[in-house]
Amino acid sequence: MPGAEFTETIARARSGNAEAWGELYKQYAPAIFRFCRRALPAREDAEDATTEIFMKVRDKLDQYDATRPFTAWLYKVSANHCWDILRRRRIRQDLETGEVETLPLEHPDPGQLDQLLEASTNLQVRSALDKLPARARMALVLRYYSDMSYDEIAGALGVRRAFVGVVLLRARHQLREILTGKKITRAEARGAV
Amino acid sequence: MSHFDEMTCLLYLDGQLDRARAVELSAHIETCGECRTLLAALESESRLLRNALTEEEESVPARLLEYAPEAKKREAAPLAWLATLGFAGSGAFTLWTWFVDPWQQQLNQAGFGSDSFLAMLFFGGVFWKGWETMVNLTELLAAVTLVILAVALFRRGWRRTPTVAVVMGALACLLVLPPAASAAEIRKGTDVQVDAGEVVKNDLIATGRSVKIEGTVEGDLIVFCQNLTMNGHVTGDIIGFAQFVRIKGQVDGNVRVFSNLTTLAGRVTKNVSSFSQTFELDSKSEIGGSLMFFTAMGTLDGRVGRDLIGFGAEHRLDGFIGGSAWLKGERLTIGPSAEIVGKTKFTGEKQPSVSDKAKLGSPIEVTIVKHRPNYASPSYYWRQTLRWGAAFMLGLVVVLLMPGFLRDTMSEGNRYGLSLGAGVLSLVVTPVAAVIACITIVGLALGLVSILAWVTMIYAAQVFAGAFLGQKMLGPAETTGALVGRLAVGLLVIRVATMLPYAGVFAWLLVAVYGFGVFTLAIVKRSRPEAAAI
Repeated sequence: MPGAEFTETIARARSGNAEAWGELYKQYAPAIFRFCRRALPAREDAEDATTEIFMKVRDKLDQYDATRPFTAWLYKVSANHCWDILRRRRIRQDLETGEVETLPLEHPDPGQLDQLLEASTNLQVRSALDKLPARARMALVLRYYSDMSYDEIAGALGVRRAFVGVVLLRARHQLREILTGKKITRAEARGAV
Repeated sequence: MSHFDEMTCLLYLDGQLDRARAVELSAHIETCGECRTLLAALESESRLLRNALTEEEESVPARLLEYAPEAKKREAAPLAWLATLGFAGSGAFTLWTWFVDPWQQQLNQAGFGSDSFLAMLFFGGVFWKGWETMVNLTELLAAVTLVILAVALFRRGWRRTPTVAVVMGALACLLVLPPAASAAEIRKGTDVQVDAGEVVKNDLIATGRSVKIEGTVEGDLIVFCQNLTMNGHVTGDIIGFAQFVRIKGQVDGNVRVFSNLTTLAGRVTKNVSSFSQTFELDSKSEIGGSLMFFTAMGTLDGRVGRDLIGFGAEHRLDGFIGGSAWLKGERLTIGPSAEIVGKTKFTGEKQPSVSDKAKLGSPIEVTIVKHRPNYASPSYYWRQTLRWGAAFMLGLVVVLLMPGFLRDTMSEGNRYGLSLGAGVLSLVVTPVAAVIACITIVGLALGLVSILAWVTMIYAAQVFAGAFLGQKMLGPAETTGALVGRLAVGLLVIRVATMLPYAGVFAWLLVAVYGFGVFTLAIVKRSRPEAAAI
């Protein structure tokens, strides 16, 4: 949406105009649904979360600072919401407390890594992402789907800013491990798909 | 030369390294192939992740694109409750501090005994007989808890909160109020008559076109009918809802009547309260206690043992008052046969006409109230400023507590015809429904609460109308601060408009109807899930 027109749509939606709100919703609901789909384990969860996020957005529209990008704000609200859902369910929380920070990461062989990436498809990466612990997965989604900065990720996940890089790198390593394991049984996986 | 670790490389790619370290790294990769390969691998990993995550491999569900209809509802429910409770509460408080409390003080001053006004109205008579057996706080609390529990249990299935609120409220009233005079004898029919010589040894509830009592009722008499004639003897109280009430016989208790025309020509041992268009106290009548009436036209030729309190348009007094008389209305005429033992007070629009032959215990105290504003007086403007301030404070509360709801009313406001129509409808229907509810004993509490809420809403209407007006004048409000500003301006315009001579009344009416309308529309919208869709 062009700048001036978009600002006006936001203002109208804020003053309770149903039509403007409808425009905003139609424009952003698909992106937010996909975000939730990546961040949450099940499709139904993503559908419900999208609805809930837009209810929040509707109520919080007053708090949006019109000088900042709308999508960034929208993703921030969405990230907080999804992270809340995951935290409430305590998905794999036990696996990712404390030791991540101290665990030494094995230095990869750049050549092998290149080969692995070369051989991995988008579908494989997505199904590997589904197997990641909640925080690792969330961090990757925030960074590579929502294009969030380290600061924003720290805020959304409730971790120190200096720790964001560690979480992201750790997540990549976990993803690589899953992908490597996957490669061995690739034929089998293809057959299943 | 040592290599850079993977962490540093990732931070470099993501632009998170400080400048010095970044320069160092970029210099290093000029010469180091292994680190260059690692950076490239990390970068292609980022790309792979981005592609995998953003690839739109599945469609967005249609349900979502149409917007989940129940989305708005879940949140609307507590808001509707809050609004109802808030309005009822503030209405009750307003009414209490502005009307009931001053009256009560006046009544006490006027010597209406130690009973408070409310107690006299409701709890003193047979009207609330059941309270005596029921007023056990624990039972009441248990009933309320039960209702709340039921509410919590059935909450999930609710579609229309306000309806349920009303039904539950009625149920609560049913639980709380045991049937009054449950042991009473009940008579129905076109014409109900207690013949001369007949004795009803019980309370009597009679409904019909006409009810005539020639005999004796040894208990209370409760009547719903068109014509009530009582020529006999009632040992208890009379509660009457009728078009015409004529009491010529003897009543040993109190008389409380709601009617079009009430004529009292007999003897009442205790007190009389009457809500009638016309009230006549015949010269042959005698009231042992006090008399209180709300009426358009009151004629008092009989004897009142104690005090008199009257509200209405026109009063004629030509009888005997054993206590003080306090009258409020447009006009008062005191005739030559009048005798008032205590004080006489009159508050009204015109100077009362008092006959020289009338015997007054003390000179009449007159307060003349003029309805026309005094534009020359600074205090008038100060009062108007205060009233603007009060409305603005209420508006602030609405903005802070229910900003979403206020915005809803503002968007509804664009449908002018519908808003005005809904306003007229709810302005008229609410009190009518409340009065109908009041006729049945069970619905009395509900009816009174509705009337309180209605009175409050008439006042609060200016907030919704003001917010809308402000927005129309200054454009859509983006922030809460801007909304508050628009509210202030809108309310100011309304205040100025209602100060205009003659036109002010219409401005006020328009604001009340319009504000009431958008409020109703917003409530309806919130309680109807399908309407919340975009």
